[in-house]
Amino acid sequence: MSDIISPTTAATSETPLVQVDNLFVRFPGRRGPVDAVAGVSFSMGREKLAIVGESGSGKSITARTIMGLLPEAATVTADRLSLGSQDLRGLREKDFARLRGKRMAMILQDPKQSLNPIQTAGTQIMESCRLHLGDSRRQARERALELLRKVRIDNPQRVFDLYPHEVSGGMGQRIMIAMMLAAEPELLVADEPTSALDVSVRAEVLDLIESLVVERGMGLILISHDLDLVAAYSDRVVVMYSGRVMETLKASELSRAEHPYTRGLIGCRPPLDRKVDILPVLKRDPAWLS
Amino acid sequence: MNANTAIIEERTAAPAIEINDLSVSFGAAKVIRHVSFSAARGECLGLIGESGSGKSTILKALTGTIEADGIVNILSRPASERRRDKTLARQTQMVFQDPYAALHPRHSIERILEEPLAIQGIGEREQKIRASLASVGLPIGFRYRYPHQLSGGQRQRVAIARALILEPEVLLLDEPTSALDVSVQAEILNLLHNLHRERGLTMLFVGHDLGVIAHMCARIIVLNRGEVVETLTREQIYSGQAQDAYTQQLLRATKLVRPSPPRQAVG
Repeated sequence: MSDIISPTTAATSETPLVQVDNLFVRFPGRRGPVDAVAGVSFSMGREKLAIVGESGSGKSITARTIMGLLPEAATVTADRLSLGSQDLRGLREKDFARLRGKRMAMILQDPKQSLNPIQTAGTQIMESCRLHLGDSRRQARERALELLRKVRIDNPQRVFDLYPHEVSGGMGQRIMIAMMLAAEPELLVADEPTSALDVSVRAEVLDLIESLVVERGMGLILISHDLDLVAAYSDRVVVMYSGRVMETLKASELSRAEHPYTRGLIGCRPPLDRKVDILPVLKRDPAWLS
Repeated sequence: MNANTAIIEERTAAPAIEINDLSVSFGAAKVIRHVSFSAARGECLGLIGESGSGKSTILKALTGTIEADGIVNILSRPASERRRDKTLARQTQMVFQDPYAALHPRHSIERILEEPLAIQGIGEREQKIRASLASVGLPIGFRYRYPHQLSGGQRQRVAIARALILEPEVLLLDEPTSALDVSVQAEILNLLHNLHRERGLTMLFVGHDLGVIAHMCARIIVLNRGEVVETLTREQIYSGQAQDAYTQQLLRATKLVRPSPPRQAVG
């Protein structure tokens, strides 16, 4: 029954917001196909779920599969892949386009690259409002200013008319967030949202994302390589390595993780309170992939 | 002869890196204001700052690639001479942040390592290439590979090998692990730590991560908006003792996301 495509049904309290079961994402390679994601399963409600892992772990591909943003060469198979009661398997681009922005939205790492460089911040937010909410120009303008206020921009009138190159990284990310929140989606995917930002701005942006998500009762998928960040800003953590889930645990239990990969990731960072001579190095075990 | 020995001795006692009252302007924008610091021979000095703080500009001044006011000396000689003087160029080498951008994509590793030797007219290249690959822990067979066949960590090892093949005395490190995964970062930091110890290199480690920089450097210069705001010891960072307001904020911001007092689950 979950196979029926029904774009209007929203997630009820019984249906998980996102359900991923035995997901494989395969790319053609020179030496045969490669599974960038190999059997990933998780399910989430309106909570803050983090996917943590190193480059090549498949964390971004997993999120992009949900968003329908994979390159054409990718082949997706899954026992289940759904947003609320909406089955996402085999969905055409046209149908994904209807879901994106409206029911699920994504914030990327570098606002400098994801914002249109030749449009003002205001124009871009307005486009989001007009497209997803059918606003008139005037309505869209008002809503855009309101959204800029929501993302804690003190002088929304001024920022409205600024071009991306005129704003700082933190401000750019706020503009992205404002744009993504326009249609009040149920799911927000944030892929390394603060990796391009300075340390002192990082916390502000994460606090903002967190409070907006909680306030609106949205689900958040926070993708990061940073275990400390994830521990501080999510409820549950999925640890991925080489396209597979190593373990899923509560964020508060991250420091007591038992899987050797998670332990290795925690251990190899230079500590902030004492000097160690040689940093422990992660030893990858082929058995993790079986 | 005696006079020469005296000069050599004086140079050994002088700091390896000496910056005195350095100011740099781009048009009307003054990006470096009266910066002074020095690094002793064999020291690994840290330079920390956020984007726009001027850390890259200071590196450019040290490599003599921009016009600067003030004294910028490396091994007691003006860094601006580096472009004309091959010896000075050989003595100061640099490792960049992004190992994907720093290696020529269509040159084999062998050619990449050979180029600085050729420029400097140095012989025994075969032996030097072998030794430099070994010193960064890469198998000799990697010489026939191209950068795209290497992982990020392996590329950064090649970039370090290329810097070390000229046996420099000063190594400038511009965020050498920021583009790497944490597990690979640990491997590269261990490598740099060992190289520093074994070769007595003077290093200037530029970065934005307090944990990384305190791990590598006993003394850390904090840069904000083109000015040195404070010089800290590693111990002061570990114990959270900073005098300057900006440094305190930086420490707080780092630790806010760091030792993770998990927030209460909402929803």
